[in-house]
Amino acid sequence: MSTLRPLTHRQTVAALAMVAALLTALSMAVGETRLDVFAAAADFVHGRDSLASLILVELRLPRALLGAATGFGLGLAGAAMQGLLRNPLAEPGVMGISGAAALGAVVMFYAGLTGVFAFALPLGGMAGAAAASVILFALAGRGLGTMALVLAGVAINSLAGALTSLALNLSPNPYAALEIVFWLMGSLADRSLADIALALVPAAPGWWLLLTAGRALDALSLGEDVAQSLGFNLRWLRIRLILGTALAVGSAVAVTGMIGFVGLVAPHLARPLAGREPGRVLPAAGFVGAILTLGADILLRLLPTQPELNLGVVTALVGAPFLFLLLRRLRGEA
Amino acid sequence: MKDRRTRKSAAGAACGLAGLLLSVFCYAPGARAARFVSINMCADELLLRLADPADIASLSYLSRDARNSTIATQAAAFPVNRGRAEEVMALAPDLVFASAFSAPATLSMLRRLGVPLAVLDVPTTFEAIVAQVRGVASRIGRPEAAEREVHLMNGRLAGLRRELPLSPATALVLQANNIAVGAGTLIDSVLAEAGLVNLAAQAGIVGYGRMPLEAILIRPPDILIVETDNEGAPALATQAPRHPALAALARRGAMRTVDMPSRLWTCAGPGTVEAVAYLRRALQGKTP
Repeated sequence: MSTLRPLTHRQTVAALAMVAALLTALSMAVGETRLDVFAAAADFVHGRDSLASLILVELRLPRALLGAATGFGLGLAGAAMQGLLRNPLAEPGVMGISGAAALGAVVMFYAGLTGVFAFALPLGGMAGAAAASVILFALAGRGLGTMALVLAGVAINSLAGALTSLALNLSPNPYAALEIVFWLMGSLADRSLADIALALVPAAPGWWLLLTAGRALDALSLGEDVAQSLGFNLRWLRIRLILGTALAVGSAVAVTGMIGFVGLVAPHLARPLAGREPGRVLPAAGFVGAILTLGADILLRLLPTQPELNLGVVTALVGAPFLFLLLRRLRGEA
Repeated sequence: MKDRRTRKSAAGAACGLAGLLLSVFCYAPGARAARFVSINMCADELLLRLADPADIASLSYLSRDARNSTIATQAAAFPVNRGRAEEVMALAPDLVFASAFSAPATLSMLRRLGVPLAVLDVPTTFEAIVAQVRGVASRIGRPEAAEREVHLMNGRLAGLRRELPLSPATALVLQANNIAVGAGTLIDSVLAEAGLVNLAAQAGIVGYGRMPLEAILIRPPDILIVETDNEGAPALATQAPRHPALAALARRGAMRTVDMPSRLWTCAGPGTVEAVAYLRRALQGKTP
């Protein structure tokens, strides 16, 4: 019998990954119809054309995978931004990156470009996210304080929200104007395998860019001068994180709409488990983000509301009080 | 569907009984042309079919839009309005036709100003369509026009009914945002006349109700009917019934998808029979 030792970092991340995988599987067991998931999976594996396997593969699988991937990307981006800006409130949602991504996707979609070229949708999202990140990181480079940076995020968020609303109102389709709800309060409902491709093909290289920035972020946590003397190029680090965030967040938001607060909460929950160094927080925050998103998406399908709540509503209900707590703690420190 | 219109001739048509019961005003044809104004697209169609063209002062602007209206070409010959009380007043109408779904503020304003108003309800059966056609015709003093339209429509329906197959197929009408059309609707009546069993009505949906994709996949209809009109300008709502999972179902041969121009059944009127005919042609595999 070995004594109980705290988990190594590797083990912590592996455990979080396993919980995320478990929730992905659990997510596929939840739906609007009663379904024998194991029989449906067996049908699919043996190539039997059953309606149950169609539901499992065409509806529930994309939803579960998209939940995991979106949450992973948001958690990762949140951790990277908090590391780079050394700001505990930084995250794609609060800082307006998700909002700008939604605007980019909205312009592409309602202008009809995605009908011609499907990848215009994530491209629009990524362009929006990149534009907002460039603005934010430029402001941060000028030594803007924590609160000023958050206010810059508020400004980007409101502008992006207003322009999104404008773009939707300009559409001749009478349904478009009502769809602001989806873009501001995202959802994974009725996504398809095609959406998985649109979100994951660009997101995967984005995750790689963010995950491999760990050592540079660790050095940066000792101060810019130390990081530079250790041979890390901070300009390149910023560019790398802008690209990574744009790829990971922009493509996800383009498919799911904005899912707020996951990027804020995930790194803070990951730190007590994985340690405070940004390099350690990164992968853990990614998996915590996936766990949070999948959990919220499972919860909202178990609630008896009809139609189901938007995922963005549920994450905001959990995340907004968390933001208040953070603000109180920050005031205590100041 | 275009019918022959006769010039104002026999001015003797008396005010119908229905007209007397419905309102104080009842137009009796005289020397001067009447001024009928419609602020509703469905009322536009009834006026075009029933009234003397010389008596139509204005139609709603919506009737000129060929995407949503079946009467765009005919309506082009008439002045149009946007249904605001002020412009309606300026037309000095003898009778204004509106729908129960017209803007309540406009209707109450017109009532306050003492404008003779005919508010049409929305029929959901072919019997109710006949009653409405007769009611409108009697208010504009042309009951003979109503009988002509009713005769044509019933003849058309009887002809379509003779071609019906013995075993009815099941159908599901899926509108934007995956809203299914259930019992007690005009579309339900159209499906019945086309020899289809409405799966949404069977599932207990009365009026309109959301149909989850999973519920469709687990119990697919023989025919999935998807409306087409708004697809020029994309929206998530109108793309919802085009979900790849439904396409996969159709590829497996478990279900057929029929595209339906929704303007054919937007309005309840003698023209609604075209929706039945369209579905019959589509079901027989002809290009509708």
